[in-house]
Amino acid sequence: MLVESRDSVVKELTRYIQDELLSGDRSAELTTETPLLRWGILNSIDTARLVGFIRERFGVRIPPADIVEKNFRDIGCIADLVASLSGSEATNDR
Amino acid sequence: MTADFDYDVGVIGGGPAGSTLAAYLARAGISTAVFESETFPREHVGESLVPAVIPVMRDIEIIETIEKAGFPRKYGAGWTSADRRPIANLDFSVDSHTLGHAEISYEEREQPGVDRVYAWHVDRGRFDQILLDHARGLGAEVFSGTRVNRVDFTDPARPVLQTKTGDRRDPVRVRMVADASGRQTMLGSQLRVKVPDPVFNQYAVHTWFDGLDRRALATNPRDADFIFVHYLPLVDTWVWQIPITETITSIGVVSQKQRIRAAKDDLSTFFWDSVGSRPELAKALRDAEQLRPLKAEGDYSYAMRQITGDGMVLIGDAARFVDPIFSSGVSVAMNSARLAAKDIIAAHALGDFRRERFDNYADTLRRGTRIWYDFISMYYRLNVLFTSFIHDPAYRIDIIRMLQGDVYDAEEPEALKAMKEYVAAVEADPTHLWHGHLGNLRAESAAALF
Repeated sequence: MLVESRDSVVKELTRYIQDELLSGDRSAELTTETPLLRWGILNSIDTARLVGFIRERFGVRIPPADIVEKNFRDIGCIADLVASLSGSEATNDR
Repeated sequence: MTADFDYDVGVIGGGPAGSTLAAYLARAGISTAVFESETFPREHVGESLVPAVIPVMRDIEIIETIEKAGFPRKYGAGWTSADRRPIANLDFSVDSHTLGHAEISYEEREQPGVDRVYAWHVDRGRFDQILLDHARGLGAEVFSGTRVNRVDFTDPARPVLQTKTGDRRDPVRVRMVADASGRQTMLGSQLRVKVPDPVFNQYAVHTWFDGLDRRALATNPRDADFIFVHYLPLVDTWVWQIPITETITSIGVVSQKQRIRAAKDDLSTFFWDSVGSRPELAKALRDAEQLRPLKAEGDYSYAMRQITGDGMVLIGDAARFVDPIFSSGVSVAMNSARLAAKDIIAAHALGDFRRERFDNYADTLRRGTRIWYDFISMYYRLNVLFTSFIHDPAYRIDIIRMLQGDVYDAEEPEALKAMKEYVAAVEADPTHLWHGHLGNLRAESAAALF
């Protein structure tokens, strides 16, 4: 299992979104609650890239039916999704 | 003893399907006659080839001739868009540089039987003539300016072609018929087995331009000689850009029939209004010289309830036509000829041309065209999926395989299965992040009828 803890998932997701999707723009601090969809940080192609990244990095395949608003609202939601799909017991309470 | 037939096989139509089949058969020593209603060269749409034609060209030993003809080489394909529609059901816009821009090179995937990393863009007037001349050179008899009006199947073992050359009418007796009449669908119409496709009611309006700045329209100027598909910010509408020579470029707008009707069938208004939705494209076209009048291709997609019968096979566009989005036309023509030739040669050896002799052909073509059809359906239904799969390393090679036209001799690609799964999920859930991207064209099932 490549997913060690929810914290590390959060860290990796934040780094990926910051570096790859925001092209390294650090003017806005990303937190687990930054509204990614409402602020337009994640568009549809980016979502696809992020799904690919999660598959490559954590070995977690996100089923098409899970690519919905409630799972991608913010980094916290995405980390929860990754943790639940990986069956990891390291999922912390938020 | 004289035989009670004039030729073993009568081929209706001398386009790429008919000449390829005639070439295979003539090489196998089967007496073959091709009846072409027009006198070549003649204009024809469908100018971009995919690498799946290469194994066929090698089989019939025409590839060096094609190389020498100097057609522009096609190393890959690109897609551009200026899409700024709101996505999902959230009202934010998409960067024009991320959505809908993609490129692939054929060299990214090794393809069985393909010994080069390009296909070609061709002037079909010249290309089709080269193929037909090749078939003639191999021993097929070619009748130009000879139309086949109908085929008399009264004795299924001895079909009779009712031909007409000018004012002359000649019956030609054969042992079997191959319909390669293209979108004219000679036998499909005669036998009433043609079924219009309810989904892909697309039209194309096209012409040639001289002096178009292809580099200006490419995502990467180095790739200006790729085929480009420019998405227009109009529903289910796109433009092809195909190099024909160093300076000449074929441009076509493909859209749904009702949009052409809405322009009161005025091709010029329709064409320029459509490309006007991409100002940089419209400007590049206005700065170039239009060489030919605009031409429309209508009644686009159809299938046949059957493509084989006692003493007959249907090949190429005469068997099936879907939509030109992935430049499949000539590839389907030449590969269906390859597959049909195999069965016909075996049937000839047995002296038995009944329908069941052509089952391999029908099965293989069905599998291949089903993959094409589904891929095209997914493309129109959820375009963002196509673009994102191209950018996804897990699916990219599979997508390239389909774009190479490598669909006949293998199972359904994983990427296509995944695309179907996605589309089902996106359709089912309005909160899916891609729900707002669903297109209008919706194929309920992969209806390969034959």
